[in-house]
Amino acid sequence: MDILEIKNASYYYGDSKDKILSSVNQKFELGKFYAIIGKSGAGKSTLLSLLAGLDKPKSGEIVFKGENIEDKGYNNHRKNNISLVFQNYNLIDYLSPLENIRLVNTKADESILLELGLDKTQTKRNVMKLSGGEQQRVAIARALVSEAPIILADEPTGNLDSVTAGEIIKLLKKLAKERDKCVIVVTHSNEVASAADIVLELSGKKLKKVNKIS
Amino acid sequence: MIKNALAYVSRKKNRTLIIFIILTIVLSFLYSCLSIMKSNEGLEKSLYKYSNSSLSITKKDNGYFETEKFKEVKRIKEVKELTYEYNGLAKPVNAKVVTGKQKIERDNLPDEFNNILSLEATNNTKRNVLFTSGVFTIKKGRGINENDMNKILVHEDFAKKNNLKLNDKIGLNLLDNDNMAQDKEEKYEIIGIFSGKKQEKYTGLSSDFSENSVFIDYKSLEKTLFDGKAGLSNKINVYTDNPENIKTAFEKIKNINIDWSKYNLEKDTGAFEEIINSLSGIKHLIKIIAYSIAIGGLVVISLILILWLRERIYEIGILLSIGISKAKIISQFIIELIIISIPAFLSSLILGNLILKQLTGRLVESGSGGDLNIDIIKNQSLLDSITTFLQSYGILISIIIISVALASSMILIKKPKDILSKIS
Repeated sequence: MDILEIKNASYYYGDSKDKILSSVNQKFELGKFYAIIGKSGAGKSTLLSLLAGLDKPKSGEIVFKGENIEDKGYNNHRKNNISLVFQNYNLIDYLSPLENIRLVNTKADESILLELGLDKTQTKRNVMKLSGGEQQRVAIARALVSEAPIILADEPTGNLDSVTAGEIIKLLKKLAKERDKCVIVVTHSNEVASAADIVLELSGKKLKKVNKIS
Repeated sequence: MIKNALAYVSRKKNRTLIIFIILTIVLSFLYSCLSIMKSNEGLEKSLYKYSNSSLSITKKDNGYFETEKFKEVKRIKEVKELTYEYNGLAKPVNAKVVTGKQKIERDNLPDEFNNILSLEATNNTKRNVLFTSGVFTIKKGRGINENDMNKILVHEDFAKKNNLKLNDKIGLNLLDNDNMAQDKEEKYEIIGIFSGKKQEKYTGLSSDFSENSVFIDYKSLEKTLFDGKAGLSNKINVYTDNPENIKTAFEKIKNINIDWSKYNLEKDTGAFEEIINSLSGIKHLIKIIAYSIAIGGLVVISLILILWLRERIYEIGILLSIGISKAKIISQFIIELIIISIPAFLSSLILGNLILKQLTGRLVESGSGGDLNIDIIKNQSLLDSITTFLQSYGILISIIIISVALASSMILIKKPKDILSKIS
């Protein structure tokens, strides 16, 4: 089932007419794990920003469940429809893991953190005292408790060692399947791309489906 | 929101401490400045009262006049108080005057004038120039007020000579305005004993000496010399609440239908005007200092809060990216500062008063040259101080809200993507 669609979207910075994205079209489904790959500067993170409602396309539209996200507002889209996971985790540094996930859902409890591999004491410790892998798990937990159907991740394994990166990718894939989420990951990593159901390459300002990387 | 604000305040201890110190200093100075500015308004009133400024009505030939002629003065709404002065002579019964070396010898003086007292009748010795100027000082007991009847103040040397003490009674035979004895003894209770020496004019009478001066209440004088009817006076003093009213009262008294060619109406406001002139420079200085500190505090706190918020741009980006509204983000920042301002409020109660004491102490010292010791702080009641402090706190909270709103809006007008890209 299509949950999110980018329709004929173009984007350029400021007044320059030099487009980063040009008439990009793509539909995204629930239960699938997408990887968006491309060279540095190709516009992958910009595309993710448009899908997340952090920025708006210069032309075209982003559609959630058949409705332009602009209609209900970008803040509403960010709050209810998507969850973001960043390379640098983006956690509030003076809060504990549990308090961080409660920013998006005040009723959230520690079970999701335990499920993702943190122990009880870690859930109440300052988030900055956790390792990079543990912090990324907290970021993913925050994405999950929001109950948004779409998880957008920008280089989620960029700061992690290969073992931890493998675990995070497995986790994201599991979420797509078991929780019926639409997971879209922007990555440079072949390992992440090879784990994806669908691989999309951003090249020549267009988004193209490519054969699965093995 | 409140939980997160509390978490920030309790866990970011260094930042909280810095903001706490700044808020305490700014609030203390705001309070001090506001207090000084308010006292400045009250200072003129206090000085006016302190200077004993009045209007005086006297006869041009320095003689006696009927107080009844000026009964309309009492009805003038600007007039707060009237005092009457009657200067005359009295013979003490069974008491001896203090004797001394006279510069003038009078051979033709009847014996009865060798034992004579100088008498002043008044309804308020607190307003009498001999007491307000410090020439005479009450050593024991109290002064005469409007409600007194058959009361007297005597000089300590006269009391000593006659073995008189407080609450003793002394008999006087008052002489009328023609210096004729009334042959009517009246008893007066000693309610005060004073000391001091006035400038003495020698006429050869025992009453020339300061030690032989007595003060009695004006009601007794009216009863004794004028059968209880409105009597005579040498001088009527008219008092008002403030300098503006004295001008109005002056005009209204002048309009009373009296033959003014026989009377003087004068303003005794010289002392007040002198003080006000010497203090006008200081008042101006106080205003400049007060405004400078208030504006300086506002600028400092605004800049610090802007820097404080810019340092939190990372947090703002994260909160926006997870869908927290701008209003909630700003509210959290304001709540954090209000939480920090509560202990700052308490510590400013102490620091603010210390600064106020220092500031006022130096200003009064430099302004009066040590002669005029007017305590500005004492001029304010506890309620005034609390009101001023709450007003200062209100200004501080307004500065916080305006600064946070301004600083946040500078960040929040940016797109979340731009904020997040700055972070990365």
